[in-house]
Amino acid sequence: MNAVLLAVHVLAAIVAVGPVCVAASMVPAEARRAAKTDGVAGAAGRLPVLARICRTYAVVGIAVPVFGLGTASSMGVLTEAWVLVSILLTLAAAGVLALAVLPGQRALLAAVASGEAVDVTTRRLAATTGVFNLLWAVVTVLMIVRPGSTTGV
Amino acid sequence: MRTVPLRIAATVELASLVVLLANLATVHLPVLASALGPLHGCAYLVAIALTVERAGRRSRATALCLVPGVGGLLAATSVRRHLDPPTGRSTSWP
Repeated sequence: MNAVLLAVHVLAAIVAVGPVCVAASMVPAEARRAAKTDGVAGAAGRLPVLARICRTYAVVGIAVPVFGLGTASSMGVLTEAWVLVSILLTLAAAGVLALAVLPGQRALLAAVASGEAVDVTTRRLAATTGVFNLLWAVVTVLMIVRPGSTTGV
Repeated sequence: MRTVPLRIAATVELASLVVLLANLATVHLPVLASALGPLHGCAYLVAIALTVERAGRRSRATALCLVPGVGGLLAATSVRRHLDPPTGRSTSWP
């Protein structure tokens, strides 16, 4: 059973969180392109697609921590330090995504659609997206190194 | 907005809970519990996320979707009623 739970957990992490990282990182750059007066054709049209990828795969990504908890509990490692730190960092990343990145993207889309200035919104969104990606990278490294665990690399 | 993904999540939420409780009451296979436990938790959280996305944080549907087991289906019905209201009903969220 451990193998099934772990396989679903890793598969969901790759398939769901990967696209969110990539698409969210592209949003500020595309917004800057769309905002230029001699803007690249189609940049404004790509923004809603990128935002939709983030929204949809954020929901699919719920499977990652849930099956991660299932795996850890079934393997009996739920109270190990690296797991607890990962849980806290994952909670932080989920909070940043749901409360800062996705609302920021929505605000940016609305601003671009109405032709308002998007400098400040874009900068803030780029920062929060960077924080999300950094948190996610730290959790991924923790999953591989597993400090304090006897099975670490 | 479509309520089909919400309905799917809500159905998985209810069906997995029914199987989990049936397993608990009868054969009590640990394999079934550890497979369906995360699936149920996942469906419950996905149903909440989809409801919040469609109806907003402070809505009747969001309050309903927090109910364990049948919450997703109640929320799906509530969202659909809001989107496609029967005649003579108010369309605003309470």
